Amino acid sequence: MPLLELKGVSAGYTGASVLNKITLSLDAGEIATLVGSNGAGKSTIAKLVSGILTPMQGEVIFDGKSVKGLSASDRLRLGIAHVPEGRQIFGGMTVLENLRLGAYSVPSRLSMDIESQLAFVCMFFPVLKDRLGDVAGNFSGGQQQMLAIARGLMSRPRLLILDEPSLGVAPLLVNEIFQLIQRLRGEGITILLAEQNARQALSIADRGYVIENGQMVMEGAAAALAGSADIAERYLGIGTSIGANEDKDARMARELLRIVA
Amino acid sequence: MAEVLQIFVGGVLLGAIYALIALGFSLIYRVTGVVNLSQGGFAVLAALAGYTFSQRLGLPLPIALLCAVGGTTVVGLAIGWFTFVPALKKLSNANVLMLTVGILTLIEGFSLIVWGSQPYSVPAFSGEQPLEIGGLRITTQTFWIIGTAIVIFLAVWFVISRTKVGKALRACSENPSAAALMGINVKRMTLLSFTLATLIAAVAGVVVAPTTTLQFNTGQLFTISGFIAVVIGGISSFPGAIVGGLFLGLVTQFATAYVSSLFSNAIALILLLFILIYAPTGLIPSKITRRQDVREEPRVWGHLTRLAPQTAWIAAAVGIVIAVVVPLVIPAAYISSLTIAAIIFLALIGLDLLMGYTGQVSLGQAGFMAIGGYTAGYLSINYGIEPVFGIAAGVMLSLLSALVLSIVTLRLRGLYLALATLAFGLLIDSCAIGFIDITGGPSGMVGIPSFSVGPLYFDTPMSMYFLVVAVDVVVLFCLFGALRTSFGRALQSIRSDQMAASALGINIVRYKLAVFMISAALASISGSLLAYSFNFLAPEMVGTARSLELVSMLVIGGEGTLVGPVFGSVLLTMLPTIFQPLAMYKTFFSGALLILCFLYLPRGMYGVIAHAMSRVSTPKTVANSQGLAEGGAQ
Ligand SMILES: Nc1ncnc2c1ncn2[C@@H]1O[C@H](COP(=O)(O)OP(=O)(O)OP(=O)(O)O)[C@@H](O)[C@H]1O
Ligand SMILES: [Mg+2]
Repeated sequence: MPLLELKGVSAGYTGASVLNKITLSLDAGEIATLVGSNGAGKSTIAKLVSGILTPMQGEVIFDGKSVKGLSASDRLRLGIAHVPEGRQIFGGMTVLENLRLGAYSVPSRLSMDIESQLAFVCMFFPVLKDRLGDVAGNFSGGQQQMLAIARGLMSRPRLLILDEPSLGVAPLLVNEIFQLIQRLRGEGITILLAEQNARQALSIADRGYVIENGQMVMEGAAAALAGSADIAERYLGIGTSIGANEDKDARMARELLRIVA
Repeated sequence: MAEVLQIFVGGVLLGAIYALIALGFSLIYRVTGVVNLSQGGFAVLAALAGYTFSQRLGLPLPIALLCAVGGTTVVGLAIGWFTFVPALKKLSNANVLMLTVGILTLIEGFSLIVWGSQPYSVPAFSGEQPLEIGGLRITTQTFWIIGTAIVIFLAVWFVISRTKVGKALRACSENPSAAALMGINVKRMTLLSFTLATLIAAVAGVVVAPTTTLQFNTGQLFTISGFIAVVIGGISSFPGAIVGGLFLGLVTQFATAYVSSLFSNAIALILLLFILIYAPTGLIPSKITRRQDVREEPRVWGHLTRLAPQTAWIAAAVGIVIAVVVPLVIPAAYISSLTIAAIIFLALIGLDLLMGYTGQVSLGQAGFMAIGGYTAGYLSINYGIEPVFGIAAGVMLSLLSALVLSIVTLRLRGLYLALATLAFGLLIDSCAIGFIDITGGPSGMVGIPSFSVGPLYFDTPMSMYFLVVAVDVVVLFCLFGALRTSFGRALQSIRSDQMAASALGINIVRYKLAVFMISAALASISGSLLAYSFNFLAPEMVGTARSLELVSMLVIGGEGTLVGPVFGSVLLTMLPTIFQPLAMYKTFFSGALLILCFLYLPRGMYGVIAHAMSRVSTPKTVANSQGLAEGGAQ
């Protein structure tokens, strides 16, 4: 039985429809990757699974049960954790406080679990271990990304959603992060990885889904996708450096020009 | 030395009060990124309720106070649930700020209905006999207040820094969307912070009550002092609230003792303006860099309902006919109110240009009315100057003040802009009260002549009415003309995004300054006309309460429409006159209306009417979509 299934899910933001009938499934212990260019809808899928966005149509099924109507905190308790795009750490708080907030959904009576998870996470991220008392905002981008992943692990998830963990991270560190993701799978955590960096994502994943304009255009074993000429041409060569923000600014500027002209 | 110490103790006492209110501001600001101006209203509500429970119903003091605090907190919870929390999602920060002005007005209106307008004084908790300590006389209530302040500070500090809930509150304040991912219910935390702040305000209110006289609108004073304190100290840090409160308390107290009580406020305000220029984040800036989430962005606007040109001309003609006919058919007694509505509308046109078109908040617009009114009145009374020149002199002085004020305001946006303009209005308030020789002080300026131009006298309500309406119409036509040019489009782009606008080469500073000047001039003329029409001017006619009322009228009428505010002005001015017995409910209703408009009618009464009219005139929507298509093609 798959751990996570999306069945004909459509979603959007006020007014605009973004995803169109997405269906995918993910077995326990797998790494699945969502690849696609800017604005394809990868982050939207991540939000649907973690529950901060509700689908307009279709169903999200986790561990055999529909998670319809469950809040983000309910889903965290079921074992779904979401490490958002752009890290989103609490910059004014210490590393330790950030980690403890990651375990916010764990009831206080399980404080032993929280402590042991903290120890586990520190073992996994030695960088953080020495700096638990430091203010997280002063960290470098790569360290912040580590912290964001560590924070996501604090709720002992069974499914970890990683949204563009390589965004704005130096190539060397990207390798490290991808190795880390593989080690997490070794710990039995299922991983849904949204990435623009398709080549690398497919190289560590078991399964791949290619999203384009809110549609699922291709899916299959990661190795097969990586080998496919079509994919290579479309996604592996291009579209790794343009940030979503630039896109937004460009649109805003155009809008303004229209008003002023 | 003993005297200095005595003043010092007084300052600390006052400071503790300010700090308590400031703490509530800081709490809500940290979690939601907006300032809740209704804070002081809850304090006074609790104090008045405490009075009723203990003095009228005869409950033992502790129980009475507990009931008062509990009741107020529940009211705060309900108001937060139905207004504040939903508003956070829909409105920009500046508009949520205005909404809390609405909540403040609502509470004041409620207090007016229940307790009337007379002042109340509440006995001290432990008797009126002051304690003598080393030659100092200290009232027992001082100990209660300072003790309460310390307990509350420790409690808040403990909750925020030591508990899980506190961590969640801080997480929401830093990054609400990431907080939601951690499983924190952001909405609930927002409500919690609002309720906690209400609780703090309520406790402060009942404890402070014996040291002051309470009136339905005392809340404004609490709000304003607390707000000033929190900005001086630094709004996003709790120690800042304490430092700011104490600092303000001491300054006010020493200024009262050694300069003049009439100017102690003015000194505090000037201090505030300087702090806004040199250290806008306060004396104790927080370590936290404000998060950059969506709430800092302006409210997303649907297109304004614009009438088709033909319909607009017809509507304008109909409007003018109505304006001419109405005074001829309504009872003579109403005409002077109608005149006031028309005079205030003039100030509203300017405010709409500033807030509605350019998105610059102003909570001190009545300050310019005061400058215009007092200047014109003073010159006419003492030098017999022609009213037209009196008005011109007022405009000059207003423009000059606007220029000086703009040194501060041009650098600020949103919250700080609101604060700076509020401070300006308050500064003018305290000058109007303080310069007794010029303004007549609290009792007002009497004997202002009626308006006249050469031999033409406008000394009847009817003649004045037509004069003002003519001025309104001329100003409206001029502005509509100006807004059709690139000027109007530049203003719009400033409203939607200042950074992008300046990147496109729009000279933001010039446009903002121009609009600020125009609005100041219009407010000034409006104030002068008010003085000539009443033959009298008192500080409260052109004070901060008026500034807040102007904002209500603008929102109720419809922002960004120029003509819309006329509905707000007529409604809020005429209703109490027509329904005399209901005059008491006016404040309450204007608060309620303001809140409802913000939540459900973002385009105000104008929006509703214009929508209805465009439906009638264009039964099919084809015309509209064609217009859009053409617009898109250009
Ligand atoms: N909060 C939002 N409100 C409105 N539209 C949104 C919002 N977030 C995303 N969108 C839109 O939804 C579409 C899909 O966005 P999404 O963030 O899912 O893309 P993505 O595949 O993650 O892209 P990227 O690789 O750039 O992160 C885009 O067109 C985007 O403009
Ligand atoms: Mg994305």
